[in-house]
Amino acid sequence: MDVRRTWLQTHRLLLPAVAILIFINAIPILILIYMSITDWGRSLTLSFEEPFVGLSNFIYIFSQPRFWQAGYTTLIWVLGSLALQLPLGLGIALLLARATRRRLLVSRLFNYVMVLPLVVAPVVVGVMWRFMVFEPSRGVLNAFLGVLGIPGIAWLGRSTALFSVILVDVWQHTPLFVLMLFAGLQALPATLYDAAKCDGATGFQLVRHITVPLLAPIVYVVTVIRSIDLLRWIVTIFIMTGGGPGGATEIWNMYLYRLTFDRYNISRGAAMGLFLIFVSLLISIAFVKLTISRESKE
Amino acid sequence: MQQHKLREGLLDVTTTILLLIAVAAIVIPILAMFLTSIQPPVVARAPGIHLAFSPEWVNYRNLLLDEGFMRSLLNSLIVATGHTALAILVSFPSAYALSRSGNFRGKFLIALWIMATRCLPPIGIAIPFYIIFQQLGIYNTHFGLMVLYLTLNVSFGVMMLRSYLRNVPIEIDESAVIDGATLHVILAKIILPVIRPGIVATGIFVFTVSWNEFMFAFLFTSFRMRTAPVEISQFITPMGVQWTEMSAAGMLVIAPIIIFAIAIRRHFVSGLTMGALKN
Repeated sequence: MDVRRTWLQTHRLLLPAVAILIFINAIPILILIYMSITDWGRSLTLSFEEPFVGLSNFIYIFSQPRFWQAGYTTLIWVLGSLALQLPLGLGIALLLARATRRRLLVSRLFNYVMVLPLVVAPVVVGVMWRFMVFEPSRGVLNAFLGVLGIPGIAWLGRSTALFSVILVDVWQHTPLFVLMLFAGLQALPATLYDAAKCDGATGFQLVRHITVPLLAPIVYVVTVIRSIDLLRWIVTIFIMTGGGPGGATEIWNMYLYRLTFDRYNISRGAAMGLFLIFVSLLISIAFVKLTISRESKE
Repeated sequence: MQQHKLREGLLDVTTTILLLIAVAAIVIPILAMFLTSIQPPVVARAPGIHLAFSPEWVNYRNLLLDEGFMRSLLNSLIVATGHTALAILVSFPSAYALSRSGNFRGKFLIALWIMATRCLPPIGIAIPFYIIFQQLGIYNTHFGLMVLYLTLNVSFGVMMLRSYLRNVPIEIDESAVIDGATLHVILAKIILPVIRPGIVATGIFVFTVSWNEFMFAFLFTSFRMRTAPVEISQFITPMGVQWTEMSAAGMLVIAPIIIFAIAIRRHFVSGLTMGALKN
């Protein structure tokens, strides 16, 4: 029809908006690349006279033990957070599904409360946990332990800081897993379960052979998204420990901050930033490849 | 049959208890901050937890009198509102174009774009933007922040608006064209009312992200331009922390968003899930 032809032409009118926006994302990266292969010293103005230093900024970073230490911390941070959030999210989603199905009152309550950790400002989350929960003398956690007769712990002290920070991320983002998995559970066809029950499957078998495989796609997606978000996460760590006692909670992103602002070395910061972006892109691409290969098998 | 009912009942109780524990885990930290915010400063300074005290609103009163903090709240409001308007203005045309294009291409483009923007650490891209903004003279301004936040919200806004737009049948566009609406401005006046709930939902989500944002604001504002989240971080000084006022400030910052979350819960949930599912 004629109308559709006009549409295609007018789309080209609207797509420039998209182009501009892609530009907003691309220019900073180009500048970053330029920064990382030159030496800016301490200047913060672009003068195009910065000396070209090739890959020496990158080599510098990779030769720092602190970089590798931060990498190790980042690994624990990402894996630890995911390892806790995923099962917890799944368990709560299953509970919620049951509560909803059985029309229990608690399901309505939980539905309202569940969103809170996701929408409360991360600054406030950091402040809240650092001063109200983790605080050794006045915090909720130690008070709770006190009731049980257990001596208080210095939660943000060197040995437990990373765990505490992971705990906060679990508090914040488990509801995301719950939301996704719950939506996924609701979408599962009941007929599959009925047929399996007719064949005599037990509750456990139902979960293992029907629920888990069908939820797997959602799990993949949320896991990848969370991994990338975890890599670029900083606010709560910044507020609670600033990199932790003696670098205990210094993940790569935090190291990036220190590299750039503690010594005002723009070039090295840019190199580190590009490295982080590269890692994130790797994860995304790996995920896309995995999804495509899985889908082609079906 | 009786046994079955008993078993079901027991499972119900267990489910309820476990979910209540989850509710408690979520609410307790927030509650702790609220309680601290209504404590008189003398009480809060003493070690240990105090649950029996007479609540006072002195902390809130002090905050309302604090010019710096009140200004930061105003800054947050200005930036969040302005940015939300800007984000929707920028996202809408693109969302419309992508919603009317060939099925696969639009979806793939967006997914690619979202993935790419997700990979950028805020601190990483802050420096290039700092340089650009200095040159343009918009560093440390409301407008500067509004533009900066576009890097966070536009890809999301386009995705959300596009999915709402795809539910608007193209017949509506076609009949409008037949009626002589050649200008897309007129078309926007026909489609816009139809997806108003979608725009509201997207707007609320973008507003929340902007209101809560800390890192960019921290690096791009100072003194009179600070937003509320940055101002809160200023309560933490090397000389000590003003517990009670900081708690009150925290409560003030999260209060509007909590009200949104309760009143317009479904919009938030759709925004959050869409952020992950449509990939």
